[in-house]
Amino acid sequence: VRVDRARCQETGFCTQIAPNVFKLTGQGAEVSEHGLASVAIETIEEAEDACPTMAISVERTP
Amino acid sequence: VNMGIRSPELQGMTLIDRFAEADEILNSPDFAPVMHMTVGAPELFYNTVLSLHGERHFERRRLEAPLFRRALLEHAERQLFEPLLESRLQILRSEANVSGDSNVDLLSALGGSLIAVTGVIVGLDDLTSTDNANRLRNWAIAFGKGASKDWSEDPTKLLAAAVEARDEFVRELLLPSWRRRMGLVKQYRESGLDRTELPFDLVTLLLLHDWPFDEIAREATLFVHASVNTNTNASCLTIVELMSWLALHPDDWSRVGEPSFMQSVANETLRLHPLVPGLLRRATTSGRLRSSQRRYRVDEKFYIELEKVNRDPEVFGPDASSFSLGDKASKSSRPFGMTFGSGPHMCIGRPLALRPSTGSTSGEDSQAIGLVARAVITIVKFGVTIDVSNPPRRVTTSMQSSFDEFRVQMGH
Repeated sequence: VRVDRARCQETGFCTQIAPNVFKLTGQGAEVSEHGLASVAIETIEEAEDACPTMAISVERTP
Repeated sequence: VNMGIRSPELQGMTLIDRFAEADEILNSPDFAPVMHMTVGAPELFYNTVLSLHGERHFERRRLEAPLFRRALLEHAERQLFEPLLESRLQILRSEANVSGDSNVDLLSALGGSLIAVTGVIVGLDDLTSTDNANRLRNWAIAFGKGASKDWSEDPTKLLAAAVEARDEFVRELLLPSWRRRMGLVKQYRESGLDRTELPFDLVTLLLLHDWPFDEIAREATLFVHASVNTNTNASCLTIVELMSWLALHPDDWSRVGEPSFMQSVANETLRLHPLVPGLLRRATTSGRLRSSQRRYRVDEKFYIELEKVNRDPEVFGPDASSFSLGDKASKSSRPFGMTFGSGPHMCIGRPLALRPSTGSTSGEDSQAIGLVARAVITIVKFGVTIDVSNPPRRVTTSMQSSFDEFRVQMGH
């Protein structure tokens, strides 16, 4: 899960959907590797879909 | 175009023409949208995703965001839109060959192809008939004129026509589509129909969340307006700018099939020619903008002048008002300026219209690049050029960027 800092405007949508995974730093959202393990992939995908600035990308490995 | 048209409601607002101030306002929770709440067309779009604020806006975006998932958009762009546009352009070319007149109007081919995508996303049936597709396109045009009435001549007449078009659209097209989906949702809930057998579209999504019909109708009307009008106008404007650029830079003809090149052309076009004249906000509290130290009072209304904001030399350099595919646009994280908005209200349909570039130079790239870039690549493949003696005709009774007629020379 990657956040493009240049695109991120910290709208906070991701932190509302997956608060354990995304944290706002004041310079773009940050991804918590620890938090990733605790949520369903569907929740991460929902954060990706909902990000208004299209800053989140999820790479799916087979 | 008469650039001075402004309704009395807009005339009392504080003008914002600097990028930094606009960005701060659009990203702050202390400024709520005004458009379609008290100005614009509340009769059509009140309490839609465009006009909500705060938590309710977040919940609406969260609900509707899956409709713009990458795989769905790739399918809509490559499997639906592109072949349909190609077939309509082929018909135009055949007609031109028969009549001997290669000067054709692109608007119906372009708008008609976009309508098919709109039907899939919104959940409208029977759009395969040319008659229904044309009617929906005409309704969408009326919605667009109503939405921008505050920047147009004769706003009362435009709004009345938009409301009449909305009523016809709801009665003749949306209602039968809603009924069919209502039946499917009932089967899903009561008779074990699998979820995967339900359509994946706006109407079905909202039915699954038990929305009443009139609220579904309002959201569907907004989606029709936004997906047809903006993409048609953006594609036309991009063709105009592309042809001007190629006249001065003929070496770039070799790049017109490259997705990343066409995305850059579309981004720069949309920066210079925003699809709406302004974004409107109301302060929900008193305070001071950090970027400029400007004080504001509660209920003060702001009119963000997009064309000026997008040409702010502090962000886009001293030549901000000229079209260029150089550094000023490509280095920005928002090369389209604020044409798609900024912050939480950034246009929900942006991934459909124009995706961020991945840098791909392959014309056969299977990924979605956005309908605007895809439309222009497809149209240029047909050898379309602009006839300077009979150029595209802009609507002159509104500040809204749109075309009455988009006549081009069709290649053989």
